[in-house]
Amino acid sequence: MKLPPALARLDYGARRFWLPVFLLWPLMLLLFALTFFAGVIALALMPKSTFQGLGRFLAGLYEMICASRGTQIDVDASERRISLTLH
Amino acid sequence: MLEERRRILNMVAEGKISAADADGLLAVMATKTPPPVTEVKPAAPSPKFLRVQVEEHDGDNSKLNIRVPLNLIRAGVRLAALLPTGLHGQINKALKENGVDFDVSQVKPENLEDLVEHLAELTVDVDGGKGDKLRIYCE
Repeated sequence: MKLPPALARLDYGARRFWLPVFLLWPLMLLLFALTFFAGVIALALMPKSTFQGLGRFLAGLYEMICASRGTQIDVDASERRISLTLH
Repeated sequence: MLEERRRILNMVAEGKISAADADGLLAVMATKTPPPVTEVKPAAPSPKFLRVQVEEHDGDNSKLNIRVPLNLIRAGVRLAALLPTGLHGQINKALKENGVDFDVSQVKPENLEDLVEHLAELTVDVDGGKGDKLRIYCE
């Protein structure tokens, strides 16, 4: 099962922080649920194809968020280094 | 090959075939070429990340290093394919205004694997005038 990033590692100079991204999962679930119910309401007002398109878009968005695992951004300036990695 | 040659010579010795026939058979044998040996190369491991490295030498020697999962590019292309066709024109126009002459509608999920496969073979190295460097490759 594909899951969104659970942790983010932030290196700032010599300091390392582990950010609990999984705490945002319920918020994301809530947003997805709200969008879904908005889609159900829209179903009553708009053609069916629009709702199907919305469903596919939400699935694609979720897949994209899950695929962001492993993304790494390093910025190494002369005095300090900042690095962010999604796990 | 040697075994066949010996058999032909034995047949001549036993009088089963004439020397001219043996000569013909040996000539045919000589023209036969063994099947070409194809070298099977082990398949290269498929890349998982796209790496973008920027080095700037304008005094502070700053470096930028970005690793993007190729799955993210795959998911992005699939998501872009879901955009309404009316939006493609606006995106193309915005890209053109920023110097990128590219038609977004040409990127389709069915061409996705070809795109990723070609990205795997891609390495872009740009050396700037002041020693700045840009490198893009897959790993």
